[in-house]
Amino acid sequence: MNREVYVIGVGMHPFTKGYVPLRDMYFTAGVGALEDAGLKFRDIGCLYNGYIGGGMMEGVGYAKDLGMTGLPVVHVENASATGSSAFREAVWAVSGGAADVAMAMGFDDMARIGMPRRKPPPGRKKAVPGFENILLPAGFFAMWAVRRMHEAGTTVETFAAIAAKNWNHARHNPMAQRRADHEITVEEVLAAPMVAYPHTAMMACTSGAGAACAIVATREWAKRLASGRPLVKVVASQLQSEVYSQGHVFLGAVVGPASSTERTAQLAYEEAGLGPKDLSLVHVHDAFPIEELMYYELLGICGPGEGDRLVHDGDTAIGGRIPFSTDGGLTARGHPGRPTGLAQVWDATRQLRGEQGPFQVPGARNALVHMMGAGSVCAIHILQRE
Amino acid sequence: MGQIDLPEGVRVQTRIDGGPEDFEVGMPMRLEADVVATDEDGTEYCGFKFVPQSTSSTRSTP
Repeated sequence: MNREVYVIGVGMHPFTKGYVPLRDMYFTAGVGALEDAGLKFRDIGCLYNGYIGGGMMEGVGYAKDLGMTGLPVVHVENASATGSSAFREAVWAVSGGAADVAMAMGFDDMARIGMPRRKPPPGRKKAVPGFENILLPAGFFAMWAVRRMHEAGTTVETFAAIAAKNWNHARHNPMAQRRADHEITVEEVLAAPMVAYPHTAMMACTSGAGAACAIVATREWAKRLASGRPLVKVVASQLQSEVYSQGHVFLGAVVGPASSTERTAQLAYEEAGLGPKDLSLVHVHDAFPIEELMYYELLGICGPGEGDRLVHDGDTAIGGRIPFSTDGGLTARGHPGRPTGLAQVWDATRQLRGEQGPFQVPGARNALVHMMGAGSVCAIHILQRE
Repeated sequence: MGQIDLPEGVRVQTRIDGGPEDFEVGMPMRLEADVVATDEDGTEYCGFKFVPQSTSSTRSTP
């Protein structure tokens, strides 16, 4: 990066299954981030909006509620990695000198996002029902999980233990969509209705709505606004699309080849000048527990085939060696799609400042946030307490 | 859903017919045609799926 970049403000509207107008969620997340930073909207130099559903210029329209200052506003979209991609654009705007302060916003409601419409063939009124090129994530990750069980002997109890851990992480997170009123057990997760073997409903990420926002700025701005809080620096910002390899899956790959995560992580570690052993906490695209398990290994937290042991030893729970999904992850904090990457930044930033109270990772210094976008891209940022 | 390796070297990600207990990794499979949807005027749309090679020809073949 040309200039040093810091996260100076984060805000969210809680992820929810209930109906809240997106415009309201946008406003709540935006004002939350501005107040957290101690800024007025007129201080923002440019704004990147991440969303999929909705009409033309939706983001530009909602931004008017925050202020009409003439600032550049741009729409960013990269499937589930949309929030992460908006964040990356903001980071690059500050790093490159286009702005001293930049805002990234992600918002969406999964209830309004449907399958792509098809055109009827010539001479027919209705579209032909499609069955090719469609593979829902539940089916895709079930294949990953069954293959893992076949090759590494992973058990369904391990998948359930990952999900239970993340449900329990979310219990005290006010932004989480699924907040259980009791300690969730492995047995309870296994007893939930089956979605796609071996994943039950309590192992599946939620569908919902929400908004999350982050403000990044130069070191000068960060120091001026710190008011006694530790500075949170962006020490790596990487995004990669797919690289062709033997056996490449072109259609319906959902999160692309596993090697995307390995490659992007390597670039991020090189950029930050640190390695997996230096991380204090990690957020990943854990739509199903098989993903979190695979990412332990693909991010280099442990060797190939060693992920199961991390789960059994409690290493990836808060209080363990390297906690994953400290805010509940996609499973329990929720995954309305577009804001998710920025919800990770919300938690990571607050963890590094020591502000997460009952779900605080003690002494957190480096946080890695990872998202996959179907189609596919992998985005990884590393944040560091200074 | 499952992944099937064809003898020509192509791998397809495809529908496979049955429950989890009907399959194991590495099992020989064969192609079958079936009806994936029917229009309001009765037009049937034909698709494909894979079934275990040992399965006898099934009900849904048009």
